[in-house]
Amino acid sequence: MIKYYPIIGLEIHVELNTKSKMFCQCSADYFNKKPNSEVCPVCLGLPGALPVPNQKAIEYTQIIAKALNCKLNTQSKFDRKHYFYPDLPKGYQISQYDQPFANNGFLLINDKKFRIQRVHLEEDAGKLIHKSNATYVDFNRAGVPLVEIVTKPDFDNSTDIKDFLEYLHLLIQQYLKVSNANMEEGSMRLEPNISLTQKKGVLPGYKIEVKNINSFKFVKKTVDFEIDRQTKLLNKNVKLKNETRGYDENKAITFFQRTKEEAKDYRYFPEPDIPPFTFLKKDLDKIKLPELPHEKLQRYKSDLKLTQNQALLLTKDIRKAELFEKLISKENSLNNAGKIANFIINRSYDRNMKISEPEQIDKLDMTKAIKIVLKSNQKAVNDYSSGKDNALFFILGQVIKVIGKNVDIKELKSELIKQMKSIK
Amino acid sequence: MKKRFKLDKNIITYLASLSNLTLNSKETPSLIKKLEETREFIENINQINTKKVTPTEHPGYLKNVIFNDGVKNERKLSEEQTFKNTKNKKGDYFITKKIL
Amino acid sequence: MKLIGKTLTELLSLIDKKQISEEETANYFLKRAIKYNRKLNVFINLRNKIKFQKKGVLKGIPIPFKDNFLTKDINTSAASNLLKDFIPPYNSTVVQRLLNNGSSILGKTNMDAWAHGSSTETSDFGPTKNPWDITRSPGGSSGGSAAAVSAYLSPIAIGSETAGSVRQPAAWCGIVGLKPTYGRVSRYGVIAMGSSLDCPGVLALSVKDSAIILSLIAGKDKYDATTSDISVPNYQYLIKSPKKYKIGIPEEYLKDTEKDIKNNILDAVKIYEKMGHKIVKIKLMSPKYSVSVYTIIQRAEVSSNLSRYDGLRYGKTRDFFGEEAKKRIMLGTFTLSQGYVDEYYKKAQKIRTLIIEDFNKAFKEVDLILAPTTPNTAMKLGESSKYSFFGELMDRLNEPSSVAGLPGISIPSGLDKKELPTSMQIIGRSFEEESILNLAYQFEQETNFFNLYEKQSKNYPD
Repeated sequence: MIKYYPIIGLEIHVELNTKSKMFCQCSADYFNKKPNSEVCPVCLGLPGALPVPNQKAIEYTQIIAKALNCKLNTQSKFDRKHYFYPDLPKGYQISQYDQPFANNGFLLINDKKFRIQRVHLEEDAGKLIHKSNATYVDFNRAGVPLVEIVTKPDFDNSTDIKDFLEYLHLLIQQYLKVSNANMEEGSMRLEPNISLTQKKGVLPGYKIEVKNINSFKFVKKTVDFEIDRQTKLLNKNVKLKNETRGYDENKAITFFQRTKEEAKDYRYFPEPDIPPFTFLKKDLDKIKLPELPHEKLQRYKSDLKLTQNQALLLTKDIRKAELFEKLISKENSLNNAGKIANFIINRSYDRNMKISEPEQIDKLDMTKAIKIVLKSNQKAVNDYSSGKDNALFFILGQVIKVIGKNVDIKELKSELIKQMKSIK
Repeated sequence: MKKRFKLDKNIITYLASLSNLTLNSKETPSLIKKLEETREFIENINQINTKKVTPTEHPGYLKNVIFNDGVKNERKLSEEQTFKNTKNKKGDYFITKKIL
Repeated sequence: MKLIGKTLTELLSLIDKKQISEEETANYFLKRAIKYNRKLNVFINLRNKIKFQKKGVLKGIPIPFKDNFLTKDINTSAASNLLKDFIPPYNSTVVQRLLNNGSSILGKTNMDAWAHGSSTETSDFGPTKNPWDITRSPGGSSGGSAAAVSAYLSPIAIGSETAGSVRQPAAWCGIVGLKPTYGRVSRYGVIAMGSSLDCPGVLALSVKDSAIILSLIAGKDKYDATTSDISVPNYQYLIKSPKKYKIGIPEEYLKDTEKDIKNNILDAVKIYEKMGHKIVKIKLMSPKYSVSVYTIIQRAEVSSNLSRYDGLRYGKTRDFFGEEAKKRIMLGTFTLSQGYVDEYYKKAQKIRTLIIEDFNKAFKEVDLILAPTTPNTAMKLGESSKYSFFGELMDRLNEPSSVAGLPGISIPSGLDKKELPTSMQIIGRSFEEESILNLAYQFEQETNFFNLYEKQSKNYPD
C-alpha cells in the first residue's frame, strides 16, 4: 500500500480586542449585543461612507507578528477583496494582499519549526444565522479588526496542530493580551488546508480547505478525520480535487460544501480610500514584547531551577505565572521557588483559568485545620523552627488541602506563622 | 500576456456573474458592442513604455492616516435609522433569502 | 431691489447692510426655482419650503446640491431609480460645513445617474436642459447644478468632479466651475464614483463666490482619510492682490477643438498678455492616453464602489441599475479580473505616474496651464448616444489634470457662432487653488466675462 504524508497549512483568524472597530468608532465588543445595534454608516456600508484605520489594530498586528518572529514590513497598505455575500456590506472586504504588515516568521513547537507565511490585518464580516426558510443578518460584527495568520504547509499531524494552536492561543490571549482568542466565541478561527502527498514535503495537485473550525476540542478530531477520509479515497484511486468542506461537530465529520475548481477571482486592488503606510525600521525595532511563554519557561527552568513540569504548569496560565513572580519577589530568595511553584500549582482555579476570589472561612475552622496539620507534620514544624523557611510553604500547602477551599493566602499565612511561633 | 480576442457572450456572462448583475437578452448585444469599442480604444495604453515605472496606487502625498482607538457614538445609528431604508427586516435582523 | 444676477458676494453684502433680509433672499430663489424647474428639470428634489437659519456667514442662502451629496433626512438618489427612496441618516461633510456656516438647502439637483456621464442624459429622471438653449444638454454629470446657476435659480451650487463633471457643465452653461485638488475637500457622504478621483466642486457666477465657498468646505476631515492636512488659505482675500504668472498653453489640447473655442482662447491670450502675464507654448502628453487611463481606473473603482448596492440594507436590487452603470461595472470588473489586471489596471496606474510627472515637468517651466475646457460647446440632447464612451471623449481635456489630482477652474471666454458659451480652463499645481483663482479673478475683473450672464438672463426673468 502506498504511504501518504499529510501536508497541512493553517489559516488562523484572530479578532482583536480593540475598543472600536477597524475602520470606524463603533464598539468592537459585539458579543451578545442586541443585533444591529452597533452600526454606523461606515460599518453598515452606507453610500458615501469612508474607512479610516484604527491605529491600535495596526499596533496589535505588528505585536503579534513580532511575537511570531516575523519580519515587519516598512511599507504596507490595504487592498479591496471583492465578493458578494449578504454579510459583507460593501461587497468587498478591506484586507491586505501583496503588502501585508508582516511576512516570514516561525514558531517552534514540539522541537519543530513551523513557518509563518504572513500576518495581515482586515475587517470582519457580519454574522449570518440560517433558518429554515431565510437567512438572518446581524452587522454588529462587521468591521471588527481581524488578524489573519497564514502558515506554510509545514504540518503533518493533528497533535502538532493542536499544540501550535494552544500555544498561539496562550500567546495572544494571555501574554500579548490583544485578543480573547476564544474559539467557541469566534474570536479565534481555524481553517486548515489539508492534502496528502506521496512525496514528503512536496505539494500534491490539490488542496482541501476545512472552513471555520470553532472549537479547540474538535481540531484534532477534524484533522484526523479528514486525513483518514482522503487516505481512503486515494487508496481507491479516486483523484482528489480542490474543495471547501465544512465540519459537523455532532457527527464528527467533514462534509462537502463547494468546489474550488475556479479559484475565486477577488479582483484585489489597492484600497484608494486609505493612504499607504510607511514605518521606519527603528520604530518597528522599538516595538516591545512582554516576556513570551517559551522565554518564561526557559527562565523558570534555568534561573529559578523549576522542573519542566512546574515551569510548564505555571507558564500555561499567565495569572499563575504573575502570582508566582509576585511571591518570589516578595520572598527575596530564590531557594523557595520550587515550593512556591508547587503551592501555586495546587491552588484551585475555575475552568476559565481565572484565579477565583478567595472564599470566606470561619476563623475557627482555619485554626482547627492548622492545628491538624501541625500535629501530623512534626518534622516540618521542627524544620521551620530550625530556620528552614521553605518548610513553611510545605505546611501551608498541606493546610490548604485540608481546608479544601480557596482561601486568602495572606491571612492564612499570618495565622499559621502565629501558631507556629506559639509552639516554639 | 494574453492574446488579443474579442469580448464575446461567454465572457460577458462571466463578467456579469462576477459583478452580480443579471443581463437580459435584449441588453447583451448592445453591451457587447459598446464594451468592445471601449476596449479597442483603451488598447492605446500599449503604445507607452512603462517598463521602469512604478504604479501610482494612491495619488497625493498622504501616509499613515489613522484614528486613535476609542468608542465614539457621534455616528452610531439608531434602530430606526438602521432599518429606515429597507423592508428586509425581521425582529432585530436584516432578512434575506436562504443561503444554501 | 432687483436681485437678479447678483453674486453671492453682493447678496451677502446687501443682507449685511439690511437692504434685504435673509428670508426674502431665500424665498426669492425658491420662487425662481419653482418657476423654472419644470422647463429646465434642474431639481430631482426641490424643497417646497426653505428651512433656514440666520446665523453664519452665508446668511441662509439656499444652495442646490448635486444629488450625490448625502443630505440627512432628505432623499438622495444619485439620479438613479435604485436609490429613489433612499433617506440618508447623515449629512455629507460638504453639506454639513455649509449648513454650519449658515446656508440652507434649496434642493437636490439632477445629474447623470451615479455621475456616469457628461450630459445629464443618463439620469433616471429625465435630462436637464441647458438654459442657453433648451434643446441642448447642460453637460454633466453636474448638469443640474450648472443649470441652476446659469438660470440664476441660485447664485452658487455644489457639484462634484471625477474628470470634467464640474468644469465641463460650467463650460457648456457659461459659468465658473471650480474643481479643487484631490484631497482638498472631503468626500465623506458623497456617493462614490472614482475614489481616487472624486472632488466636490463649486459652480458659480463669479470667481470670488467660488473662492468663498471653497474656503468654507475645504480642509481636513477626520472621516475621510484622503483629505489633506495642509491649512486652508483665505482664498477670497488672496485673490484681491493680482499676481503676474507665466502661463503655458499645451498645443495638444488645442487639436481637435472647435474653431470658435480655439479663437476665443487665443483672444483671451492677448488679454492676459496685455495684463502683463507671460504666455508660452508647452508640450504635454496627448490627452488620448489620459482618456484610456482615466477610463480604466474610473471604471475599476466604479465597479468596486457600486458593489455595496445589493438591495438588502437600502435601495432596490441591482437590476435597477441603468444600462450605463451596468456597462461601466462590467468593464471595471474586466480590467480588474485575474489575467487582465496587469495588462489594464496596473498598466493604467503606471501611465498615471507618467501623467503626473508630465505635469510636474511642465510646472517647472510655468506657473499655470491654460487650455480649452471642452473640445466643443453644448451638444444637442440625444447626440451623445452616438458615442460608446461619450463621457470620456467629451472630457478628454479635463482627464489629464483629474488623473493627476490637480486643481482646475473653468471660466467663460466668449460665445461661438451659435451664440453658445465657450470656456477656457486654468490648471494649477496641487493645493495651489489660490493661483488659479487669482488669475481667473483678474480675467473676470478685466472682461466681466463678456457680460454673458446679462445676455442670458433675459430668458429667465423673475
